[in-house]
Amino acid sequence: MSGTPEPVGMGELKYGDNGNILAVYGLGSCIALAVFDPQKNHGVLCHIVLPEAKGQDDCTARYADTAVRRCIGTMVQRGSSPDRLRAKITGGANLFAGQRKIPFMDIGVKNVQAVKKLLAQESIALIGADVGGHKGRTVMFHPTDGRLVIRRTGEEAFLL
Amino acid sequence: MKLSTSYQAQLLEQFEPAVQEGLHRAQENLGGFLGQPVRIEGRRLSLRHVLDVNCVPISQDTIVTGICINFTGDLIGYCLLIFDEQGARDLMTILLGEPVLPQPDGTDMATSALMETGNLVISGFLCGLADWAGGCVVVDIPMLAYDSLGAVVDSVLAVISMSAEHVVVVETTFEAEGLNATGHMLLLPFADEVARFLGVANERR
Repeated sequence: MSGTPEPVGMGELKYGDNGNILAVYGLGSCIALAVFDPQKNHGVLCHIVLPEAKGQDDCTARYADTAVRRCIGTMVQRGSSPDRLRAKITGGANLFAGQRKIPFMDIGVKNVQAVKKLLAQESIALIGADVGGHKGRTVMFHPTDGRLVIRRTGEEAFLL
Repeated sequence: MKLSTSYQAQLLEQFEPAVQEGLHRAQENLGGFLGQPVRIEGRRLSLRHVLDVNCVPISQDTIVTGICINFTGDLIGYCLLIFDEQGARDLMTILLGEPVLPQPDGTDMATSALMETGNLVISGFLCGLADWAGGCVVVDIPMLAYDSLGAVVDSVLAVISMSAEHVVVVETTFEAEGLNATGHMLLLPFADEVARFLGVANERR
């Protein structure tokens, strides 16, 4: 069922099917990871905040390492085979760039690197990425067909 | 670490006088710079989960100017000063005589003026906090972002979430005579650091 997009907050993972839309409003250095199954017409969107959990027991999608595993687990639990899964990512910007180097403010780059590496390790095909830069993004994900609509701040929306 | 509700209330109650002292100092700094009386009012002091982006009561899509400063010493964290477009234009009218907004390349007068304002307000605020506690806070150079509120707040909270589960948020408004330059100041120290900071204050009294 379509309608109002359902927001996915920081560290959250949400599942969608049947035409609903999942959204992240105002993505800065965080990553929106969309994983979907084009044959089963369903998918998940998660809002990753940091690259790694460093051994912390985490049951959210806050860290890239735990989030990627949770995405795959959720899709498998709902009947998908891991080899059919496809992924798209966006985010990882540095909004405070261009002035001077501040410790930790390059977290966006590290988030992108971590998610790409983990997807490769799990053999999930990354079929689209719009990452980095110095602008925030708003993201709409259509889990049924895998469309990811991205609007960078001050620009027209485009389809990934 | 999950903080009990009673501990949260106690922490905020103890921290409130320090915040008031900080706001008073920020008000003096900005008023002196603008050459006219300015009122900076702390509307609300709250303890939030570090992943709660709804700390500022305006829409996530609103375009804002965010001035962010990292601080270390007896208190560690970030301070973020936010103006929506109208607030930034009003402030620029006072500072530069015209309602201009900062350019993306960050080399224009509006950017310099906003960063100077952020520097004066935030460093005044943090020095007031430090003086109240008899401690020391070292303030870094300001950084500026012009983007949606959600993206600006998301970027700062992501960094803080590396080592904290909670942050203290001070929601603040600015008013100067003859203009309605409303902004929001978020003080985002790590919650554990606030407890340590209050300990420093108690030891020195």
